[in-house]
Amino acid sequence: MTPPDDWRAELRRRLESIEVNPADLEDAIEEFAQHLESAELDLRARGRSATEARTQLLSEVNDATLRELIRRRSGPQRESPLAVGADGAGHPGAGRTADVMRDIQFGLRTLLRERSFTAFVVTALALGLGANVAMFGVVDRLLLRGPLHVRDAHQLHRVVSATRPIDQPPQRTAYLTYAQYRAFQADTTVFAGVAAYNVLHGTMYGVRGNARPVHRGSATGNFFTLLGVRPVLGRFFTEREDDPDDPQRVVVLGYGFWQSEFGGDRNIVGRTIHLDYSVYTVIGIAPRGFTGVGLSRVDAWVPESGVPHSTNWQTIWHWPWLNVVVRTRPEVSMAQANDALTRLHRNGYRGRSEVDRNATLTAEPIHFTTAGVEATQTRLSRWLFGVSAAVLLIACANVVNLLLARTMRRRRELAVRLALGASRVRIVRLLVLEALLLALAGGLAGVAVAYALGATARGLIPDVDWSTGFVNGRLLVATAAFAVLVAMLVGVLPAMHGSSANPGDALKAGTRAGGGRTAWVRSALMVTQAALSVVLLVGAGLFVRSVREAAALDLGIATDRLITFKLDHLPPRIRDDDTAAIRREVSRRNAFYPTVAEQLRAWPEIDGVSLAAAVPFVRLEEDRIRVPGRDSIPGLPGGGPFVAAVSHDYFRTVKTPILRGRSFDAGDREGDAPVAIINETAARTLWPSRDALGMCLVVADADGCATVVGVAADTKRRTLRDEAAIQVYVPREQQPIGDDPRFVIRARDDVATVTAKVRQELLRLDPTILYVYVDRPHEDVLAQARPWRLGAVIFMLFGVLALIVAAVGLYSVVSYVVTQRTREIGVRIALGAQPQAIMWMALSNALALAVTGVVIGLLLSVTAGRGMTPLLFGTAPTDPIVLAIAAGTMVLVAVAAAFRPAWRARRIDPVEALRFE
Amino acid sequence: MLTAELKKGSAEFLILALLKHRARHGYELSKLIESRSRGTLSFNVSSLYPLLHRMEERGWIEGRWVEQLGERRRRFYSITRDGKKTLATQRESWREFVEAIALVSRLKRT
Repeated sequence: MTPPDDWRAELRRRLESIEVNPADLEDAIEEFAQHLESAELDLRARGRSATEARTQLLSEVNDATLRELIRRRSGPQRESPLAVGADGAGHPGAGRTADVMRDIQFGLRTLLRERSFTAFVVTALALGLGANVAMFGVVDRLLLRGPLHVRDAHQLHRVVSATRPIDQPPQRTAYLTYAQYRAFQADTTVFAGVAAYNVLHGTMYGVRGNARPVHRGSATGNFFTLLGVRPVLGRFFTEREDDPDDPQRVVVLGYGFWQSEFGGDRNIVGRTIHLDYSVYTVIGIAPRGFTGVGLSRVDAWVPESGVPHSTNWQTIWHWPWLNVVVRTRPEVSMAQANDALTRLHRNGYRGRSEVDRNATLTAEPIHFTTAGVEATQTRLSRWLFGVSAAVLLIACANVVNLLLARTMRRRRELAVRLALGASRVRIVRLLVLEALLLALAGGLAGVAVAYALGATARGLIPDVDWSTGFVNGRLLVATAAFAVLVAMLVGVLPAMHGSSANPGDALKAGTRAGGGRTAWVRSALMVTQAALSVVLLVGAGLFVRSVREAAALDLGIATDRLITFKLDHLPPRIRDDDTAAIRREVSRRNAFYPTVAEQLRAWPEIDGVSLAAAVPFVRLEEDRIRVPGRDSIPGLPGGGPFVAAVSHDYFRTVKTPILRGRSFDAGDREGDAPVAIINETAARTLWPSRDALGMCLVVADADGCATVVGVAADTKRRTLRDEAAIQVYVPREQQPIGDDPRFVIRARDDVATVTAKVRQELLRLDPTILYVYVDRPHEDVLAQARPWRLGAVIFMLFGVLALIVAAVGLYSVVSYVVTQRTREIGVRIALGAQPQAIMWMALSNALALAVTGVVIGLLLSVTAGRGMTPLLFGTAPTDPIVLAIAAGTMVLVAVAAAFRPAWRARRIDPVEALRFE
Repeated sequence: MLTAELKKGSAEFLILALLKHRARHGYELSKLIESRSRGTLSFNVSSLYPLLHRMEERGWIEGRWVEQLGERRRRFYSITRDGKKTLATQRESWREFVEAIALVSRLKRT
C-alpha cells in the first residue's frame, strides 16, 4: 500500500513555493492528499495496479489550478506571516509592528476557526478573572483601601479596650468615654492627634409624620483635621464649635444625603434641618463616599458637644459610647503606642471599677469594628479572595492543559513553520500572542462577571457604603494585571513546549507522539484541579451547613413578623413646679399604652399585641436579683441577669414557650401578690436541686419577694451565639422596670403595611408623639446570618465553577489519552480484550487522578478548616458529612466526565485503529 | 459528455442536493456525484476543489475542518442558509426545464 504521506510529500513538492500562509497551504495539502489517498485506494480496489492508479491520479493534478485555488482560498491579503523570509526581510518597509499586527490577525483567525476551544478558554478565564476581580473589589473596600478621603490611613488606629471581668470571659470593645479621649490628648510625643466620634443609626430626621431614621455621626472638632479630609462645599466644624461649654448646633451633610434630600442644592449652606427635634444649621457637605473611619453610610455630621448628653458626660468613666482614633507619629512603634494608651488610661482613671481601671488599651487597625475585632465579613472576604484565587488557578491550570494539548496537536504545523524558516522567537511570539488574545477576551468577559458577582457580594454586605462605585480604576488596573499575568502563565508553558519541537522528529511522528514530560505535567494539573475543587466544595458545604444551623437555631422567640414600636413624646408644655399637671400627664401616658394595645388587638391584620420594656434583639435591661438565703448569684458566661417588665400576653405574642407553671395573666396587677417568670437557665442556676416554682425572688429594688409562677424557655438576646444567661420576667403592672414600654406586635399580613398603619394610628391617637421608632428583630437576626450566607453563596458558586472546569479538563484529558492510545487499544481489542476491560482502562486513568486530587483536597480542607472555625456556625470544619459529600461529588463528576471518551474507547475498531496514522 | 457549462451548473445543483441533509468531505462528494450521475459527471482534485471554492465564495456552502477523536482531521462541507434557498429555486427551474425538454422532445416524436 502506498504510504499516505507520499501524497503529502508529492503535493508539498509541487506547491511549496506559493507565498501564502503556511497554515492555509498545509490545510490544502492535507485536504487534497486525503482525496488522492482515497481515490487511489478506490482505483486499486477496482483492480488497477499501484503504478496505474498513481499515474492516473498524478495526471489529474493540475499544479497551476491548485496553486491559484490555494492563493484564492488564502484570501485577498495573501499575507504569509510565518513563511520563509517573512520575518521582515522579505517585506521592504514592514517593521516589527507590522509583523506583530500580522501575527495578531493570524492569531485571531486561528482562534475564530477553533470556536469551541476558544469559547471554553474564554469562559474559563472570564469566570476565573471575574471572580477574582469581584472579590478583589470587596477586599479592597473592606481591607485594603480603607475609609475614603482619609490621609495616610495606615497611621490611623482605633483604640480598643480589653478588660477581664471577674467570673466572665475577657471583653473587648472600641467604645470608650469622653474622659478617656481627653486623657489620651495629654500625650503629644506618641500621637500626632487624637479624635473621637460616634455613629448612631437611629437619629430622627424631620418631625412627626415625616420623620425618618438617618445615620448621624457626631465627632470632636479635631476629627476632620486628623483624618485630613476636605469638604466639597462649605466647611467642616471646628474645635471652637465643639466647645462643651458653648456647643454650636451645626451640621455637615453627607454627600449622598445632600444629593437625595436636597438634589445637590449648592445654596444649602446656611439652611436649617431638624435632627432629633433639635435645629441644626448646615455649614458644609462632606466629600462623596466619606464615611468617617468606618465603612457604613453617614448622613449628617454634628459636633460631639452639640448632641444631647447627660449632664456629666465629660467626666464619667463608667458609660462608654465614643470611638477614639489616634494618629501615631511615624517613628512610633505599635508597642510604644499601646503602652502609652494603657498608661494614660490608668493614670487618668477616676472611676470606681477596679476591672475598668486595669483595662489594657491597644491601637488596632482602623477596619476593626466597634466590638474591637475584625468584622466577620472582613475575615470572610479575605478567605473568599483566597478562594477566588484558587478558582483562577484552576481555570489557568485548565487553560494551560488545553493549550498544551493543542500545541501537541499543532506540533506538525509548528514543525512545518520551523522547517519553512520561521524563527523560534517568532513562533513563541505567536503562541504568547494567542494566549494574550485569549486572556484579553477572557478579561473583558470577566469584567461582566465581576459586575454580576460583585452585585451579589455587595447585596450580602449591605452595611457598607458602596456608593463610590465598585468597578473603579484600581479594579480595572487589577483586572488588566491579572489578565496579563494569566496570559504569561498560560502562554509561556505551551509556548516553550511548542517551540522546542524538532522539525524532523515532529514531521515524522504523527500526533501520536505525546512526550512523557507533558503527560506528567498534565496529570499534576488534573490532580491540582480536583484537589482545589474539593476544597471549594467543602467550603461551600460548611457554609451551607452554617446557614442551615443558623436557620434551624431555636431562638426561644419567633422573630419573623415581629415589630416593636417605641414612642418619643414632645416635651410637655408644663411648668416644672406644676406637680398636679405633671402627674396628670404621667397617668395619661401610662393609660395610653394599654388602651392603644387593646385597640390594636382588634385589628384583623394583627396577630398579637403586648407591651415590654425589654425585647430580645431590640433592647435589653440588666438588673440585680437576689434569692433570700443565698449570698450571691453566680455569674454566667452570657452575662446578666437580665430583667424584662412585660404585659401579660407577652409570651403569646413573641411565642416564647412556658415550659412549666403558668404565664402572666390579667390578674397579675399592681397591688396583687408579686409574681415572676424565670427562664430555664435561671431555674437551673438558682435552684439546682429543687423545683423553682413557688420560690421567692427579689427583683431589682423591690421590697419583697416575687413568687416564681412559671419557667420559660431560654431565648437568645443579642446574637445567635449568645450563651445562656439568667432572664427574669415581671408583670409591668407590678414592676415597671426600665424605660417606657414598646409595643410588641406580631403582624398577620405584610410586615411593612402593618408597620406603616400602626405608626400612622399612633401619631393620630396622640398629638404629643414626636417620633415613632420602629424595630424589626428579624432584620437583626437575618443580618447576623448574612456572613454565612455570603460564604455559602460565593463558595457554592466557585465550587460549582471549579467542578465544571475540572470536569471539562478531565474529559479532554481522557479523550486525549484515548486518542493517543488508539493503536494500543486496537491491538488489545484485536487480541481479544473485553470491552469492559478497555473501558475500565480509560476510566481508571481519570479515577486515579480524581481520587488522588480528592485525598489531597480533603487534607487541605481539614488543615485550612482549622482557621475557618470562628467563621462557621454550629459546624465543625471536619464535618464528616460535608467532607463525604464533597469527595463523592468530585469522584462522581470525574466518572461522568470520563465516561464518554471511555465508552468510545471500547468501540474502537481494531482494523481502523491499526491503520490510524 | 456534457458541455462544461452544463456540467458545472448541474454539479452545483447536485452538490447542494447532496449537502442538504449532512456535511460531506470532498472525496465523498466526488464519488457520490459520479455514482448518482451514473458516470456522466466526474471530478478530480483539480476540478472539484475550485468548484467547491466558488460555491463557498458565493456563500452557498461552508468548508470546515473537523477533528474527530480517533480520526484524522478532515475538511467537511456543509450547506448554508443561502445554499438551501438556491437549491430550492434551482430545483424549481430544473423541474421546469426538464418538463419543457420532455415536452419538446415528445412533441418532436409525435
